Amino acid sequence: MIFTDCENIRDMLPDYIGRGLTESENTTVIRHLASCRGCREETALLIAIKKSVAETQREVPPDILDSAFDKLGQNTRLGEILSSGSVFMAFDILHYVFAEAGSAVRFACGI
Amino acid sequence: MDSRGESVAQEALISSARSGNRRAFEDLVNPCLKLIYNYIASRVGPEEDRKDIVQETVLSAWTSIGSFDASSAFKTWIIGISRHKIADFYRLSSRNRTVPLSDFEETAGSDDEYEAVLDKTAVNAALSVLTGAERELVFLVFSAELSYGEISAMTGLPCGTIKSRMAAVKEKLRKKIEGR
Repeated sequence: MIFTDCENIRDMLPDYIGRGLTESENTTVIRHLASCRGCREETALLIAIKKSVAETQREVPPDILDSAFDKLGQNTRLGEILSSGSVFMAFDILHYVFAEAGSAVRFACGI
Repeated sequence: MDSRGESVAQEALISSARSGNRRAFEDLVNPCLKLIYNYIASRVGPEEDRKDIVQETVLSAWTSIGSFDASSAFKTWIIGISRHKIADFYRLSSRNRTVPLSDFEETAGSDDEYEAVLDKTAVNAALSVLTGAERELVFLVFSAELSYGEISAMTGLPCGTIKSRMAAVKEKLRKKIEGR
């Protein structure tokens, strides 16, 4: 049934023009497009939309790029130490705790 | 590196990030930052707000990476987090001037064939009349390259609803391009 074919093919078109299909799906789509003007027009529309959308994509502004991980803060360092399995883990943890305590004292004293 | 190699490398990063390795987490997130930023930019205007939502997205991904079960792609998962953060932003602010995310709830041929629709100006003009929710859907399909199934999982809407909304968007764009 032609309608069902077109419906199925059109569901596959975003992947056909985007991230790709399996080889057999690709062959199915190409064979269908060769004989269906409506789906070729649909494909052309999708390609035009995709190109237009791609052209509007901007690079991430440098300050956003530089600050993306800022909210992770210093507290994540502890998780890093614990996951390292280092033989110096106990020393690292003590160092971390004293460093954090030192930061808190400096912050409290305004220095 | 082929896609299989990339996938193995990403799995290693995910595993490492889940056990608290921040460097691995950053290596995992960095390639997605452009996508995350543009997704947020498609829904939120002020640059300062975009910056804040990027940071909130990254923080939330870090604190919940342990619950990432790899049933979806990492990219899909983190865009889903961005989507929630944008919704939080609109909920917490009174700056709801654009269409909120919840509006997802409402709302190879001949040269001639290609020429008819490849008029860039017409396509750009058509895209500019889309609503916020329609732009979001177009972004998820064409820029993030998510499948209808992935968008369905992310939004909680049935796959059929996503398909019919996409069909409506395409029809709207087609009419606009053809000047109907």
